[in-house]
Amino acid sequence: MDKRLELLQGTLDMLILKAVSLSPLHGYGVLLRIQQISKDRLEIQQGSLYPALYRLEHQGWIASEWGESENNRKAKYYRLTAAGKRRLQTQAEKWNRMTDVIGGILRTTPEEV
Amino acid sequence: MDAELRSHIEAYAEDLVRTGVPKGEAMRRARMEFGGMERVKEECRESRGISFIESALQDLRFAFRMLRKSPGFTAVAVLTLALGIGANTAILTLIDAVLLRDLPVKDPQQLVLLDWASRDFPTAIQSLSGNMDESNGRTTSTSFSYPVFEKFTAQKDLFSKVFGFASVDPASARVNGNASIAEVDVVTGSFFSGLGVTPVLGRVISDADEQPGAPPAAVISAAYWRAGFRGDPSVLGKTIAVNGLVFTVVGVAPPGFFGVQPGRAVEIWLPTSAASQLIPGWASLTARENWWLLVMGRLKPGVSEPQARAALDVLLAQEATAGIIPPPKAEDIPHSELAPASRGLSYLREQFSRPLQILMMVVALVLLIACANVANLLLTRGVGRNREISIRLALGAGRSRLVRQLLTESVLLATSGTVLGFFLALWGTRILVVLITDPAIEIVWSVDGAVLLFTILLSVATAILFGLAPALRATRAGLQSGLKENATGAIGQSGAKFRARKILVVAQTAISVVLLVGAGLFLRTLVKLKSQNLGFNPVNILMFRLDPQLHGYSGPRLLTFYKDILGRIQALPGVESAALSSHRLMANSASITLNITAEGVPPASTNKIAVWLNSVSPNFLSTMQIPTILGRGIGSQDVAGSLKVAVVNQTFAHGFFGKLSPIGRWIALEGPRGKPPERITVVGVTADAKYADIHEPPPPTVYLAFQQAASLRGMDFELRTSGKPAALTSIIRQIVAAVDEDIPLENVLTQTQQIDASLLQERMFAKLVSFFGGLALLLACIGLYGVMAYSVVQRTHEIGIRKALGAQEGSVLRMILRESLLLVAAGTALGLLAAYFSTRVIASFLFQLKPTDPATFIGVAILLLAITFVACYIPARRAMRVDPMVALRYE
Repeated sequence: MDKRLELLQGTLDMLILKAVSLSPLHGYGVLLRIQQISKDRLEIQQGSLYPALYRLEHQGWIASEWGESENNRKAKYYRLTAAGKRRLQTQAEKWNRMTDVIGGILRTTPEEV
Repeated sequence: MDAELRSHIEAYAEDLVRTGVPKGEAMRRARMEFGGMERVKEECRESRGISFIESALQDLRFAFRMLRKSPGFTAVAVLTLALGIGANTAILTLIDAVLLRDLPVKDPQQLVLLDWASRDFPTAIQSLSGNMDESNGRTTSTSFSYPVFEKFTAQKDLFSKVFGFASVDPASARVNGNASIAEVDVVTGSFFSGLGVTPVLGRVISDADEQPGAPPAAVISAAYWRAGFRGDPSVLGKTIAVNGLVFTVVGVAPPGFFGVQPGRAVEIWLPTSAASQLIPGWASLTARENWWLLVMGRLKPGVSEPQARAALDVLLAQEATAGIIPPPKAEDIPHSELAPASRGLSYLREQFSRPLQILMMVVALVLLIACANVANLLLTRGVGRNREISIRLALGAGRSRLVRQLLTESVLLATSGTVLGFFLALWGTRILVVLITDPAIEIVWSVDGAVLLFTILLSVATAILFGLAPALRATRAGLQSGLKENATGAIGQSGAKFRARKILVVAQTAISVVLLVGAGLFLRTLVKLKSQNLGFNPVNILMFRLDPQLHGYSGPRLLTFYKDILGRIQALPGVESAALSSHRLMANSASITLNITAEGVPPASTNKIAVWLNSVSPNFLSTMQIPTILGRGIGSQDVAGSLKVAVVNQTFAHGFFGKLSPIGRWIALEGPRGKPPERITVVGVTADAKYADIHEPPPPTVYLAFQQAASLRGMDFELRTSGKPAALTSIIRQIVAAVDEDIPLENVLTQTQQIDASLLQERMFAKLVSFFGGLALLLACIGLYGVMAYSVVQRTHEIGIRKALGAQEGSVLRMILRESLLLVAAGTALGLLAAYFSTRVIASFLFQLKPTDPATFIGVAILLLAITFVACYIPARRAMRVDPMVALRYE
C-alpha cells in the first residue's frame, strides 16, 4: 500500500503543479483542469486532492490567496511560486528520463540482450 | 479549511445539478464522492505539518481542560507547589538583598575599600575609632587618619575617585522641635561624586562644604525626608540640629540609597569639617595620631592592585614614621590592602551569612517534599487515566507526543504554583525581614530580575522533577491491562504498583523528620536560654537612655541633670524604684578593663582577667533585685569627694581574693594616661548576675558609684513599675522634655524586650524552622493519607473476600494499620539517621545542647508516629467497614 501511495503522490503533485502553472485555480478548479487536459482519461480521488494541496503549500511550491470564484463564492486560489516553477521543471525532466529508461528496458528484444 | 472544502463540495454539486441530477441528490453524491470530511481535514492538517507552536498550544488547551476537570487535585497541587516555591523565593530575595546585592551606586564593581594590616599595633596611632581586629597575629583596621587620606587624594595617578566617611554614634537629630536618634555619617566632599550618586532634590556635599567657614550643610536620605519632613518639596533651606549643632538641608539623596553599609540606613550626611564638634572627645580629627576615617575609592583604569598597594604602602610608611622618635620597627608599620567593595561593608553579610544558608537548605527540603507530594498526586491520577492513555496509545499516538502532553500539564501546574508562590513570597519576605532583623538593622530589599529568573528556572525544574516520572510511567502501561474492563488492576499487582508512591511517602516522612529534629533543637535552645537564671529580676522594668553630654552638658551640670531626672521619676506613682547605670543589662554593651590590681594580690595573677564595670546609682542593685550578700550596696553617701567605693560580685571576689572577705580592701583601676591608678575601697559583695550576653556566665563585675565617676557620659535609666512598664513612656518623655526639650529618649525598651532582642537569632530560627517543619509534616501526612486511602479503595475487592472468608473487622484494621505504620517507621528511621549526621551543621547555633540530643530525637519520633497514626487511622477504619457483599459485587 505504501509504495503505490508514494508513486501516486509524486505524480499527483506534479499534475497539480502543472495545472496551476497555466493559471491560478481553486481546489475544485484544479480537479476540473486536470480532468480537462488529460482529456478525461485521468480521474483524481477527491479525498486526496486537498491534502496534496496543503502539502505542496507547506513545501513552498504553491501559494494560496482567498478570492472570489466564478459564482461569487469565497474560494482559496492557488498559484505557482517561482520555486514551484523550478520544481515542476525538474520533476518533469526526471519523469521524462524515467520513462525513457523504463521504456527502453521494456522495448528490449531478446536479441539485444 | 472548512470553508474551502465545503465550497468544493457545493461547486461539484452544482455541476452535477447542471448535468441534470436533482439538487438533493447532487449534494449527497458530492459529499459521498468527496469522502469523509473529518478524515480529509485530518490528512490536510497532517500534510500541512503542524508547527511546534500550534501543537504546544494544543497541549496547553488540553492540559487546561484536564486540570479543570479535577479541581480538587489541581487546587491541592497548586497550593502545595506555591508554598514550596514561595518559601524558596522569599529566602532567595533575602539572600540577594543581604549577601549578593550590589550597592545602588554607579559602577559598584570598581569600588575598593582601603584597609591596613600590621603585625603589632602601629605606634603612630594614639586613638583609633572604628573597626579593629587583632587576631591571627596581626592587627587590621579600616580606619585611617585625615592627613593620610589627604595624601591618598593627592595621588592623582592612582585613584580616579577617593572618598572618606565615618559614622557619628550616638547622634540625635532635632527637626521641627522633635528630637530623636538618627543614623548620621560624616563624609568628605568627594563622597557623593565618588559613588556617582546624584540628588533627587537640591545638591550633594561637595569639597566647598569642607572649607573652614563654610555654612554647615546636610544631605538627608529620601526615607528621612518622607518621615521627618513628610516629603515636603520645600525642605531645602530647613534646618536640622544634630547633637546640638545646626545644619541646613541642601539636598535629598535618591530613594534606595542608604550609604555604603548594608543593614545600616544612613539618614543624614554631614561634611567631615563638622565632625570634631559633633562628638565631644573627638577633639582634633585632623591630627595625625587620630585614625577614624574609612576610605573607599575607584582605581584609575590601567592601575593594577599590586601597583596601587605599593604606592599606598609608601604613603602609609611615611605617615607612620614621620616625627616619631625612635622610628618604629617594621612590624609597627601598616601595609595597605584593598578589598572589593561592590557590595559595601560586610558586617551584615558576616552576621547573616550562616543563618541564611541554613534557611536555604530548610526551604529546599520543603520544596522537595512539595514536589514529592505533587508527584504522588500525579501518579495516583495517572492510574485513573490508564484507560484513556491506553486507548490513545492504541490509536497510534506517539509515546513522546503523549509524554509531552502530560508534561504540559505539569508545567501548567508548576506555572500556576509559581505565580501564586510569587505573591506568597512577596508577603513572606516582608514577614521574614521583620523576623530576622531587629529594629536597628534595616534591610533594603526588592524583587529583582535575578530572583525572578531563578524562580522561573526553579519552577521548570520542579515541573520536570515531579512530572516526568509519572508521565513516563503512565505511558508505559501495557495496552492489555489498560483496555480490559477491570482497569483497576488485579489483586496481585497492587504491591508493585504502589512502590513508587510508597517510596515517595517514605522519603517525605524522612525529610520531615530531619526538619522537625532541627525545629526541636532550636526550640529547646530557646527554652534553655530563656530559663537561664539571670541573677536579677527582669519583669516590669522599663529602660531608656539619655545622652545629654551631646548637648553641651558636662561636669557638675551633667550630674545635676541626672539627679534631677532621677528624682522626678522616682516621685511618679507607679514607679516602685528607679535607678541609672552606665550600661543597661542584656544589651551586648559593657565597659571592660584588663588592668585591675587589688590589695594583697600579686598583679601577675590578675592582670589578664577581664573585669566588667558598671557605674550605677544607689538604687540600682535594689531596682534590679540583685541581692547583696556581704556588706552594703552603693549608697547615697557615695558622692564626689567622699571615699571612693565599689561593690563587687561573687565571681570577682573569688577570682581576686579567694576565700578572704574583700570588704575593706582596695582595688585599683587603670587611671587616665599618665596618672597613677586610683584606689577604691570594696564595701560590699553581691550575688552574681549576667551582664551583657545571656549566653555567657556572669563575669567578674565591679559596681562603682556614678557620682564618683571620673567622667560621665550617657546613662541608662531603669525603673521597676508596679503596672505595665510601657504605660509610663509618655509621662517620662514629658518629664525629660520639661527639663530640656532638646534631649530625646533613646532605646526605650522593657528589660524583657531587651532580652528578647538579644535572643533574636534563636527566636528566628525556632520560629522559622518550626513553621517549615510543621509544614513539611502536614505535607507528608497528606501524602501518606492519600496513598493509604487509595490503597484501601484499590483493595476493596480483596478486603471483601477476606471478610467473606471470615476475617474480623479488627484484623482488617490491624492489617491496614500495620502496612501504613511500616511505611512511617521506615521513613522515621531513615529521617533520624539523616538527622544524626546532618544536625552538626547547626551545632554553633545551639545552646547547651548537643546536635544529637537524644531527648529531641525521641520526642520527634513519638510526635511523628502519633500524628501519622491519626492520618492512617481514617482509611483503616474505612477498610474495616467494607461490606463484603458490596465489595465482591464491585469489580
